[in-house]
Amino acid sequence: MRRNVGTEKDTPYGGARRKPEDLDSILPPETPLPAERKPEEVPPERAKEETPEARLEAAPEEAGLIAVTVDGVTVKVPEGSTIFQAAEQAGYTPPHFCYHRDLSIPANCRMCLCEVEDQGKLQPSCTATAADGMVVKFDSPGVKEAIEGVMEFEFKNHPLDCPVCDQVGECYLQKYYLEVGKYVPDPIERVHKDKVKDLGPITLDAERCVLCSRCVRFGEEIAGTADFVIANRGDHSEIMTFENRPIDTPYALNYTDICPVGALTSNDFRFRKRVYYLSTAKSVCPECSTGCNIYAEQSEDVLYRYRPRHNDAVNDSWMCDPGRLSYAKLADTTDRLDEPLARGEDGFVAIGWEEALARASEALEALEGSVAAIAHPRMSNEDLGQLRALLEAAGGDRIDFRADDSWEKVDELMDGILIREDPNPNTRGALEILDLADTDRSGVPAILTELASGMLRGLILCGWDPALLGEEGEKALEAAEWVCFVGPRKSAAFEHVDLALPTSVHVEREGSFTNHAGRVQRFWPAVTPHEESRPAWRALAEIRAALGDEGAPESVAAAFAELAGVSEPFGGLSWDAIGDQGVWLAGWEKEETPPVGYDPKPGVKAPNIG
Amino acid sequence: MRVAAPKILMRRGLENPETSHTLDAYEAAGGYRSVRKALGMDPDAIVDVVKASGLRGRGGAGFPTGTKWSFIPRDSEKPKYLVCNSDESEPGTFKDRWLLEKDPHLVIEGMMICAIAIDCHLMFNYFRGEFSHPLKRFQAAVDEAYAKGYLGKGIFDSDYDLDLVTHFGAGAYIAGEETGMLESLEGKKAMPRNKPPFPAIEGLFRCPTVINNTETLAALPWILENGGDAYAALGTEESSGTKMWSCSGPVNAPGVYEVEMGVDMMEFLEGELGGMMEGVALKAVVPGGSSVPIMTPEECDGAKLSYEGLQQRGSMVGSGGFMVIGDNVSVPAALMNLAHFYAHESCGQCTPCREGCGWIEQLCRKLLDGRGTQGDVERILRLADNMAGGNTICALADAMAWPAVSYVKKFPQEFLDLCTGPVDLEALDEALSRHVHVLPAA
Amino acid sequence: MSPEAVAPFVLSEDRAERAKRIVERYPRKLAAILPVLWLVQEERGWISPEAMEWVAEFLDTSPAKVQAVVTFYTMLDDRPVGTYKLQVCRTLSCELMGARTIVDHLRERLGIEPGETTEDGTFTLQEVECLASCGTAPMMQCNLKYYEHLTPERIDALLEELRSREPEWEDVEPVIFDRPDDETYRELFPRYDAELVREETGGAETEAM
Repeated sequence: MRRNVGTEKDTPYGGARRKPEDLDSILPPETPLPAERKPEEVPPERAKEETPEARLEAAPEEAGLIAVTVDGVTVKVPEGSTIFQAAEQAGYTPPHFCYHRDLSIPANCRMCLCEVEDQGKLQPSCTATAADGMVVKFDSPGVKEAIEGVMEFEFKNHPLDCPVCDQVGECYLQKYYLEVGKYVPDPIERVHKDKVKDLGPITLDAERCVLCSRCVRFGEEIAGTADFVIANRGDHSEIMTFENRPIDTPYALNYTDICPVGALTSNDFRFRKRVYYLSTAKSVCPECSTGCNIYAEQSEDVLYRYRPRHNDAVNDSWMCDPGRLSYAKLADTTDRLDEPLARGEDGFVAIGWEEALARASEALEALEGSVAAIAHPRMSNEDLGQLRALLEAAGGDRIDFRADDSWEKVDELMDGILIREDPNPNTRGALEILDLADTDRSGVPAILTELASGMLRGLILCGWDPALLGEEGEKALEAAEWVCFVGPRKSAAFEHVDLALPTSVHVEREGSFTNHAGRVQRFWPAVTPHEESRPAWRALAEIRAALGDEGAPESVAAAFAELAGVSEPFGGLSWDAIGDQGVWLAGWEKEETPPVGYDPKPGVKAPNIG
Repeated sequence: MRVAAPKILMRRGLENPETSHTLDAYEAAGGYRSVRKALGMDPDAIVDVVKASGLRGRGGAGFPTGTKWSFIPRDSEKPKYLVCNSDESEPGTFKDRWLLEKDPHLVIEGMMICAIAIDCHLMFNYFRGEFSHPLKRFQAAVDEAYAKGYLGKGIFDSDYDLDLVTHFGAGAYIAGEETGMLESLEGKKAMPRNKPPFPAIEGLFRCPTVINNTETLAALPWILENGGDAYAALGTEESSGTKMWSCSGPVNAPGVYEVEMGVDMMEFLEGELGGMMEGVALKAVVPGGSSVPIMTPEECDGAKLSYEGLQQRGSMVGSGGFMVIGDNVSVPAALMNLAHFYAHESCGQCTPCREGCGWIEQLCRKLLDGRGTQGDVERILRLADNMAGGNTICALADAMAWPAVSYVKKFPQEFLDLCTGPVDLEALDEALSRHVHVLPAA
Repeated sequence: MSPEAVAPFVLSEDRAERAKRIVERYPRKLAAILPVLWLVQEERGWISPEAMEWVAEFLDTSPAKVQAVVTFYTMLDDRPVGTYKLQVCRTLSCELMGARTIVDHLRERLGIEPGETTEDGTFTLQEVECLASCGTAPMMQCNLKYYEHLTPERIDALLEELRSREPEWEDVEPVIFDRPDDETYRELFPRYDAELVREETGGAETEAM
């Protein structure tokens, strides 16, 4: 029986423990044994043409596709696919250590062996090319014996220090041990290697290493820094950096993701939480315009880590360390807005949402359309859509978000790999939704000037710390009759703010960002919102409703649908269709995105590692 | 007494041991005629001659040489390379050293013929790092050849440019594996590559490459001069020509001998090798270098030294390292010795080989220390089984598994004698029957 | 020892010149790594981390990769060794003919174990794998030179000779002594009793996994 480790604590969102929903980027998905994969029931009279083979025969020739049968399941895969890829498509992920979808393939762990009909030797499925009509078996005594053998070898020199190993719960060795269970203790000497070496962001335990060489390949192909090599040879082989020097790349923590065992662990995360206590939500990194897909992981409402989530169109399997470690910023709640605040005679008073919404709508009505909005590129697509809709409902038409020049660098890669100059996740979305992409509006400075001169009377300021708006900003806010701040964090420069509405940050809510390349990507809540905070789209929609706008959406999906109806690039997109891998904006579609990395070699059969 | 076959490879070195390595001596004995002939031939015709000769690789695998060359794509625009494998490291083998020291020009001429046949203009000869003296001799010969215009631009006044680089390793048995050698030549660790792609398509620097053993290449001048059929007429149907055997162990005249394929093994032992040393009886022979299965005296009796002859007896020609083991030697100790070798030389890439070789050594040591049980003997068999049969990228794991299983199979009592606790020969037989398919098919 | 504390490695002029010529022979620079490392080892006797950095710079590769290569190939030393490196072949053909007796003799004469260097830094003793000299076993390599058909007496004479002269690098012609007579061989031949093996293998401690 194949089992996934660490997935049994399954409670819905909001519970103390959620299912670590997706260890699948770390661990291969649980797949039923071929015998357990039940074929669909088909009426006897149609059975003939409904068998997979018959369907394939009947199907018109599809260009470049070949038929491969894996444990009785026939699938069509592109020509040139490996047997491994065909098996995955057939619903079975072969056991593996060295294979990684975004790295070259050395075929050295010998775990993914399979039997190919009419071939004497077992083949490593990760590197063996599938051929049309090939019949492959993973579920055979020969393969099972070989894998049991490999596992026995893996444990020969592996220290059984699981109780003190931080990889427990996401360890391939553990997983496969549970699956194939071959370990007959033999009281012989182990080869000893160095236990704990601090390499800066990560800790190396050479003794736990299974020498899959993923780290060696990542350093060479993705980070470009070639930090790790395998030194020595035979059973004394061990990974090391030159002279044990610390790793100096902003992608270092990816090493800990791809390490299938506890050899490379993150100094930030190790020993802070057992991973099987973590629950996982799919999210998007908010730290630059690349929009890396991530998992946000929490336990008891405390975020413990981000880790990359695979997306071929964006970040492959990687993310940068600054983005990854940005989760820690959220832990600091000292400047978070806890509840709606209104300016009273002696400073701010907490007023509660009902009162706040009422005051906002009254103020907007009183302004009679003489109101502008300054948006923020950290707001989600739905937030921006609702801001625009609210302004319209209030009769205003001046909206912009370009309070600094970061938007000009939305596409600029800082290091040729993933990190972009623009530190905001939704600049592209803001440009498109606010219709600023191709038009020369005078931007935020013009709005501030008009506020200062009294031509505009009110302002909805989203996200930006007023202090960042400079002298012009201060003058404008001072002159404005009414300033409503909508954002997650308060500032010392709130003296001219009349109403402050607390919003929740991305890990506390649902929403979507549009990355630099026009890919719309959803994120899901990982933790409960801070105090009374609400998603910005909801707060803004509620003000709309208070203004009497009956069309104000009540769900994030409806907010997105409304956006799709009014914004051309979003036209035709649906909330559900975005899924967890995202979709392209209309007009931004790309056939293929280049692989991420310094010198990536996806699918290349690497002969070996230097 | 059999009729002595011509000494194709060793004639000059035996007749004239002091000067045979010089260009003058080589030419005086008729050298560098074949390469001139080859320059006037169609490359395909050279390949055909070699195919007709039935010459098979002498490095260990025994792959037909002409066929190997024919895999080189003629229409490829990439440069083609030839690599001569002089990384002679198989325990018990020292024939290439003899050739390189005594007759380097023969090797050079052989390399030239191969190069012309595959349209190669840059050849490498990869020496093991320990071969300082053979390397020096060979480099001197190369220098002589360059000075005479036999190498370099327009060799032998033709319009064919041909360069030869001598390269040397630094201590790695696995560099003798052909793709390991390519990696090593490219400046990396000698870790064998996955195949396909095969070197003939993507070899050195991703270009089509032929890798041949030194002895194989050295046979080419004779074959070109006398014709493929003349070579095929020597030896047996499946094993043509002559073979150099590196002979060691407690015999009266160890050393390198070139004999026709198919000679009788015991006649060879009694004849060329002068029989066993006084006071030592024959216990076993490892006929083809340490990697091949061991043979008992009964199996040796009547065996023929040829590819098929040894295969019939469950062993192999391998690299021709003919190791004679006397009755003063413990077979488990011999296995421990070899397991140490393979554990030391495993590149560490594939799991079964990396962990298995050292494990077998430890189990042998445990037995010899008097701490082992029959379970340990059976574990040796199981480990060997899990290592062999293509479960790894290269054949080093098989090269460990074959001796492991065959030593236990042929000398079970010696292993059981070392065991503490109960022993059961029948149970061991049963375990052997489960794992014996590890051995090459007889 | 911090990297800053060590003077950067520089290859002597004539060797640097040779290194440049070696690189030219190959279609790719990196292919020259083994010959270049040999030059470095010839110069310093071993390959220090600083030297690895120099080689990496010279061949446009990373020091880590150079280190991987140095540690992979057993003839390259990443730590200092004695003036004379005595490498006794221990593989089967030599063991059959008495390699253990030779190693034992050297251990006793030099007072060191395989892998160690004498206190005066003259000799390093190593057991190495097959050196392709099986017909003239037992044998050893001293630096780059083979000594074949060894006996304890011949080793004593050789040690004496080595102690009395400077190391000679150019002369690599093997010294092949006459074949020992059967009587001498019988004294060299291995004995296989458990006691002896335990001693030879260092009587490894058993450890539960």
